[in-house]
Amino acid sequence: MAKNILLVDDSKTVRVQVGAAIRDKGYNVVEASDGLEALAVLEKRRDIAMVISDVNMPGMDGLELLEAIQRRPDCAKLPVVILTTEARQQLVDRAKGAGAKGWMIKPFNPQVLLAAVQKLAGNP
Amino acid sequence: MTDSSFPELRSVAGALWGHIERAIAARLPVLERVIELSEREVLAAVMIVQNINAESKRALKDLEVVASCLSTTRVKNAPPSLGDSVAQQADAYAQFVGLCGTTERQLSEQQGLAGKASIAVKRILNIVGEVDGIAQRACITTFNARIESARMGAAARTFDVIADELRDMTEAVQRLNVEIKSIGEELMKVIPVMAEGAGTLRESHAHISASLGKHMSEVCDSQRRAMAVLNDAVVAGRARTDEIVEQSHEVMSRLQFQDRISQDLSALINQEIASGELVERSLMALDSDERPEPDDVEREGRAIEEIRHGNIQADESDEESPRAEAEPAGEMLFF
Repeated sequence: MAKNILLVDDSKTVRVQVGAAIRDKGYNVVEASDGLEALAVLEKRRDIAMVISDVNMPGMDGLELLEAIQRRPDCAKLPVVILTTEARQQLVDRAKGAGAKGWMIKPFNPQVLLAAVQKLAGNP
Repeated sequence: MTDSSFPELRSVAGALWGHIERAIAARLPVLERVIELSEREVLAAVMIVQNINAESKRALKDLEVVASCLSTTRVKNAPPSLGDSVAQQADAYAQFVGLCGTTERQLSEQQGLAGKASIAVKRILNIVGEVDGIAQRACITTFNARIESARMGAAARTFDVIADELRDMTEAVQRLNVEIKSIGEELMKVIPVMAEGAGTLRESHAHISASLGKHMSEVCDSQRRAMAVLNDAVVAGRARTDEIVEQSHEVMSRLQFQDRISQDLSALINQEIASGELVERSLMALDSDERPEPDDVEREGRAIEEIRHGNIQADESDEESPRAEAEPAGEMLFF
């Protein structure tokens, strides 16, 4: 069974691009358009291997989502990578303090992202 | 500023706000439509690029399958490729040529033997002729012996017996001669036919061997040419696919920038709407003759600043939120 990657971004374009790159390598992709939707997915499913999240989203942003994930005992060890246009150091520090595993600035490099997915979630 | 200037200030501010409100109201639908269309077009472009990528990869894979069908690379448990079949045919033809050579040598030997047999039969017929001559002389001798025997009377009776025996032997030899001659003449008819048949067979073998050789040579050349063309096509296809993938990454990066611009534009609009709402609230406060508290003014000013910095990247000169010395775009910063 292929591993499931939760992709959180309010931009459908980004979800299509990133999703295609990850699916191409054999992973399954579950999409959410904001932090609240992502939490609802994590509530229902226990088979998510990794989360890739944007920062700037309506409702609940990516850093709030990261902090919410870390508070849940069943998800605290779930690897989370931030994929965003933001480059402010205070946001990077906040993500690092909240337990994120990586920070990537858009536009993303498919090979680099896939290497990170393979490293953090394992082979498909 | 005195209290008496407030009504004029309110009037000016009200007119200004009305102008701003109308300008925003006129432009907002257009901007929203532009953003919506831009996002839709970006998504469509992304799908098209992905389809081009997928198609080029599929075409390359098909080309590689065709090339492997023609190649002579033996793959374990796979059915033999066309190239393998051609190679096997070439091996079989080489064995056939070897056999043809052997057969040709044997036919040549047969032709040689037929020639020797013909010479031998001619010698036998010559010998038969000589024996016939000897038999005729024996007949004459027997005839003469009878004459002498008749002249010598009873004393030559033994001589008669010998002459009779000689005559019988001579007749038997002559009968055998006739038979040998008949056999020899039959052989003389058959031997050339056999030699001719061996010659014809040799010619047929040579002709078939030459035709098959030419055919096999053409088949092998065709297979080699097809392989060379396909290999060139596969190499070119791989290079082209790599080029397409690289260019599509470039296009995707540009589309992500465009998508980001749309998001920034959308954020700007939200910011302007929020700023307008704050201005409206301030004007309403003026209308009610309430003077804003210094704390309220400061709070509203901070609110406007927060909105301004809300969804847009901070200026590089912003000291409160410096940009990370992080990896450039596309690279991963691991924690």
